[in-house]
Amino acid sequence: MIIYKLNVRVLNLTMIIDNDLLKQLCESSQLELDSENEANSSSDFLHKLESIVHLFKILDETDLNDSSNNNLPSHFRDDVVNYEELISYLSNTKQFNSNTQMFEVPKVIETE
Amino acid sequence: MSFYTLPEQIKLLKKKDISSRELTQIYIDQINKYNQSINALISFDADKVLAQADQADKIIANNESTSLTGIPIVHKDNLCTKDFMTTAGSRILKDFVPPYNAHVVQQTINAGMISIGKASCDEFAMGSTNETSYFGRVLNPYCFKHVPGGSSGGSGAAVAANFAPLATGSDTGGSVRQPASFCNLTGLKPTYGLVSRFGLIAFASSLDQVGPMARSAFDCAHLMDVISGYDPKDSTSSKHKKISFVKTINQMSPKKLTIGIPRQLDDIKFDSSVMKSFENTINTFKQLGHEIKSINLNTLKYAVPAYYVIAPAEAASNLSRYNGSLYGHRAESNTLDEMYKKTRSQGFGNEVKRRILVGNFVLSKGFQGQYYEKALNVKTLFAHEFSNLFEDIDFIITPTTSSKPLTFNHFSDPVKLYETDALTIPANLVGLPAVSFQGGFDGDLPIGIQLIGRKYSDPELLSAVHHFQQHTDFHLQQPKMK
Repeated sequence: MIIYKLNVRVLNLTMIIDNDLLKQLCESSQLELDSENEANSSSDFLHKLESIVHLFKILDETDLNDSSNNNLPSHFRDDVVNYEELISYLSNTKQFNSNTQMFEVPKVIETE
Repeated sequence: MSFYTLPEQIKLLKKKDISSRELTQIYIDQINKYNQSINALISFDADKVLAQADQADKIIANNESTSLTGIPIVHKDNLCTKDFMTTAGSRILKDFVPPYNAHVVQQTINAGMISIGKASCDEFAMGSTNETSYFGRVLNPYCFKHVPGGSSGGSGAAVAANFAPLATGSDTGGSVRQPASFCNLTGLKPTYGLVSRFGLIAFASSLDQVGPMARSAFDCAHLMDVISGYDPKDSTSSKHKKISFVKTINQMSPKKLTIGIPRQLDDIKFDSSVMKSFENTINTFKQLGHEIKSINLNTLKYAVPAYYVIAPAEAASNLSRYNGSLYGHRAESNTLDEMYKKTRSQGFGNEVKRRILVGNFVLSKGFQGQYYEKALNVKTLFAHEFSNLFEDIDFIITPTTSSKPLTFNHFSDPVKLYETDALTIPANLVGLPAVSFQGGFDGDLPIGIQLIGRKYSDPELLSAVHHFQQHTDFHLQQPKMK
């Protein structure tokens, strides 16, 4: 049985990967962690997983209002980044589209 | 003989002063002598290799050869090879022999090259030390107590140990450049789309790119002439006009370059020997007449977290095909669903499992906007910032990694290891070309320096490194194999 909790703060959201979510992730990943002693709460596997998920906190700290950020246009210097506005800005900027041919990203697979 | 340079070997073969069989046999002897200890090659069959060499000798005798006909090459084991097992370093693909060749492999065969063996790699190219391969760790030929880097660590170790003069690698976040740095090689991650990914076992499709590893930029240029170009079988393959890398290097007279150093390097903790080599390299570029200026790369600190959202997300999708029903390992079970789970649980190593879980986590309904889309936005910011930077400069220079080659099991926290990729990841996020080349040593341990260029500046990048290598001798150093 998986008894483990991961506290992750991303985008001002405290998210908990608890037993149920981890089970769901394993289900959607078609993996059985408890088959290989990986579900132990003190296991190296889960501690490393926790460490990786904590990495995402850095994205939460994306502060584009940095004074050294002089190369970016003013759209990127709001106190709080509005990503919808950012996407809109980028998609409407002809110069951007011509300068950087972004590649198509794969379709997101939704899992519940 | 193994220690002749690639241009010397090409010349000897062309003049028929040596046959491909004789040349190949020298490399086979080296493999027989050292592969058991270094473990760079997973697959190697001397009889098959010599049969290829005999075929190459016939082509040479008929004066139908290309410049690399008869030259041996090692392919990373995530490139499909019809005649060799292809495992991607994973138990789940143990004993898998593909029914076709990857485009890159086929191009080398068409050029008359000798596929001498398949190189070990981190499992599904996920790792920076070659410690996650199911087939055991690979040792760095420069010092057996240190890793060769990863994920193309087997390719790097193989060239460094003189198992072949050339190797292919794949680079998703630095997997060609970092092992090139650790094994005293030159390694190029080409512009995304310049080299076909057809037959490359996918890790993160929007970031993966196949690239050459060799002792010098000139050697890499020879291989790029063979493997680059449009391939209709890869939907992301670029139709950019094919340019001869070797001709570019031969014809281009050194021009004054403007090279930018990101101020944000000050925020990274480097080994002192790495920083010393970096400073020496900058001084050499200055002496060669190039201008060095400080630049801002403000997005640098977001590279690692953005990468570790995007890459696992794509990996979780790409690796969903491995379930025992199509190929590779298959676990015994009573139901189909149970077979899938058991196969994957037994077949994948822990690092791969972690990344699949993280990938499905960031793509989960309700969270994909918070994680995946935000990471894509960071990727877009990178593209914008690089685009602005390359209006004023030709290349960006950084150390390839923050440290000299690591010892085994150096980090218990995987994030610490991930952070060592901070300087190589940006080029993948934006699809830019980047090259790692030899910048010095810390004792016996090699140190690499990286140049990043604008899209399709790959030949100019190799030209700049070639010019540097005309005035330095780090790339000529050989391992003492101890």
